[in-house]
Amino acid sequence: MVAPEVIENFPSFADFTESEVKAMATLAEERRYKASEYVFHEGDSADMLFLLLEGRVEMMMNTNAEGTERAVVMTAGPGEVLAWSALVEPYQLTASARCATPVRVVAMSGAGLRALAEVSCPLGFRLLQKVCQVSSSRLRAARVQLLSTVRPTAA
Amino acid sequence: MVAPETLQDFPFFAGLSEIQLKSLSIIANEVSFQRGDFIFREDQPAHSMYLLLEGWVDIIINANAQGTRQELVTTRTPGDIFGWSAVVEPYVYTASAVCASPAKAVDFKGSDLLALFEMDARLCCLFTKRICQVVADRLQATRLQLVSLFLAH
Repeated sequence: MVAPEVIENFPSFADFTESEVKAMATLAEERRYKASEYVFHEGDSADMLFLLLEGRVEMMMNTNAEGTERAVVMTAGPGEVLAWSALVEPYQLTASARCATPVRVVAMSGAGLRALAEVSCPLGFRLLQKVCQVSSSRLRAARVQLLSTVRPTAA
Repeated sequence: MVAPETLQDFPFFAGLSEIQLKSLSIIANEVSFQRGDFIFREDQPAHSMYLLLEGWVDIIINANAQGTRQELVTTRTPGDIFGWSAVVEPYVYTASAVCASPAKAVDFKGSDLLALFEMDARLCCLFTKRICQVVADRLQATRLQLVSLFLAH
């Protein structure tokens, strides 16, 4: 468990109620990683949702079937949520996360969050809204990146 | 309104109860477009979400800050949901949708959907979950495209 303030003070979790924050805090623990350590791997089951407190994390995708080669698709910084796949079926990680610096995160049990969302629809709705927002802004960024890669002059 | 049967055959609406399908069909409207019509534009308030029934719709984004140059990012085909920004805060379209052929779609007003969600918390959660999956799939597809380009160079 982490102190509820850690979650309360996390930018995108500011609009949860006190009791919701408390419930989520019981599902959470703080973890630290060293630079170049992996937080998770593409293809693994998404058991945890991560709130990035400190450091930078590179999101990578496999570029061969064996998963021995990867390309960076984005870099995440403090305040960002990682492994949103923990809340979206089929709960499988769509990218790997490697620490570019020492990293501090809050790891929250995906199964726990999903159970909370089942019990409380308002909480589930707000959680999923955040997932939508995160993926929507990442989609927008990926499209711009794609365009600038295809036609460097376009962007 | 559209017939509930119009919706139930699409995977996006699978698993909804008869009553939920009915309430969605009551707020839905069928709309037709001609080739070249803009259904919505990037950065505009997201008024509606659409289910494409017939035709092709190009999703394009502004390639410069002035919005004078636009590029195709993907094409939607029948059965696809697009314009989901109507149910995702801050309710602003992140891309434009322009018809690549004559098109027919079901139009769900965002405000009507949100009102329905207020009344039916289960529907709200289920629907939002499906939207999450749609956005996640698009993100995954775009990243795969990006990665395949890295490989090509």
